[in-house]
Amino acid sequence: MILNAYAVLSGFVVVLCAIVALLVIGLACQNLRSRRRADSSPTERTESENRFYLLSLLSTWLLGLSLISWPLLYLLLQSYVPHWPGVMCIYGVTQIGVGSSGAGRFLPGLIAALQLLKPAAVFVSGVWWVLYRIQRGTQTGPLMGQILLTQFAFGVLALTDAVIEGAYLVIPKKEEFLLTGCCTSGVSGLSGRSTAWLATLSDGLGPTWLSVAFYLVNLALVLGLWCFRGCCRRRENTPGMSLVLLGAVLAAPLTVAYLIEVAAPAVLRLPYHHCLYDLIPRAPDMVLAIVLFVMGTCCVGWASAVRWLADCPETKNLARSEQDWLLSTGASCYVGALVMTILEVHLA
Amino acid sequence: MNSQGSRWIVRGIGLLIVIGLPIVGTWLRRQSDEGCALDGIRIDPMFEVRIIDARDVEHRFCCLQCAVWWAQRRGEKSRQVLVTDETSGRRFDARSAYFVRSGVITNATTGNRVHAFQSRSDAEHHASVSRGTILSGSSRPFENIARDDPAN
Repeated sequence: MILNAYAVLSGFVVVLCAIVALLVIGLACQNLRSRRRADSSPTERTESENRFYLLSLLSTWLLGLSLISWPLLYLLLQSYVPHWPGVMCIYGVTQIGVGSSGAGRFLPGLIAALQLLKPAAVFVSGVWWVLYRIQRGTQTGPLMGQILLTQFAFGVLALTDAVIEGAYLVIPKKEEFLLTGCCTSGVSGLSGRSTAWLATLSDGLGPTWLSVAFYLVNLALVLGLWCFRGCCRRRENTPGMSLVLLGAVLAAPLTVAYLIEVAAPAVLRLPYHHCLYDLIPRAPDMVLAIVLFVMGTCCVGWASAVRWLADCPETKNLARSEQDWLLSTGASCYVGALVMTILEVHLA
Repeated sequence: MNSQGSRWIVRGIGLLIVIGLPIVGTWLRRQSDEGCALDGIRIDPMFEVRIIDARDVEHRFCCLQCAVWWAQRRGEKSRQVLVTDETSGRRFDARSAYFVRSGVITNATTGNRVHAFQSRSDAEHHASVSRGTILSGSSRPFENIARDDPAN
């Protein structure tokens, strides 16, 4: 175990997350059970309502902790870099334990899982938050079932994330050997990339075509979002939400490919260095563009969740205004990210 | 202030950040010292390698291994390769260098074990104290990378 300020802070957040997540799971289960009972007394109903308020408060707290723990993970990994002489960036830290036979062999898998679980937990917490905002504007609380299920899923994701991060912090890693400390060396071999599918995609399309495809798809997505938003304002039932969501989901791997293959080497001014992790210490301004891309995709996902989960007569107008706001924010995020990326790549 | 006014202020601040941050960030990065042309890490002058490409542009590297990988990926012959003599710290043409592969690692990130010397006696001394071998023929770095005639 490596003890530094970030490890202590991460450990503290992990413990808090685990406790709150357990409470959220327990209360969500209790409320779901009490909802199934049709013959509940007024006292039981009041108790259930009070539990729901406590659950909402705890979920808000868990949302805040999940948001904090996401960047904290990368700050923790960055703080581990000087502990191994061969490691030059977070990529090297993620490779610690590869080829090991002890407990350290789990470290790369744990980091990979954390990098997927953290955004997933934030996304599900966002779904809960928008549903809860809509629910607060209603008289009868028609979205209670969906909200409780979302809170339960959020609790499970946050608990899993906390357990995995706790395990990552505790497993000894200082004595682990390093196979390669930089994505430019060793494993990357001739292609120069640590990710095979990216190398295939980029070599197949070529950097120019990848750039053209990235800009066209993202511009089309922004236009699609604005058009869809306009149609939603004019008409009650506008089809095409699935198409917009599909566009955002398909644009995500293309954006990742562009950022790794074209943007990162250009911004870092290292043509053969395809590493997003290096942007954190060397070009933190570019990280904001990536955050905006993530927020744009999440906003489209949340708008879709509102469309499908808040589909009842009482919430129709509230859901429409929430969806409108989310689509507008999503489009603004995409535009901001595109402007930043264009400036970063072409000024470098 | 009405909500419309505050909305425009928020948009203005957002626009300022989105446009200003990349400009300031790029400017700041240009002010800082350039690192290795392959992986960007700080260059130790004792192990520095310089490659002058066909367009007369000079590229600096932190070790021999980085320079070799960079040149292989570039896939074109270089005008000149300059290596640093580990004894004196002087830079000289790689074609007249004595390269020794030994147990001593110059760069932990790349794991480079090849050392450059200007004189044969220094190379033999390093090889004997660190159980190394002097590289010859095709095992020498930059054999197929540098042009035969530096005047080209």
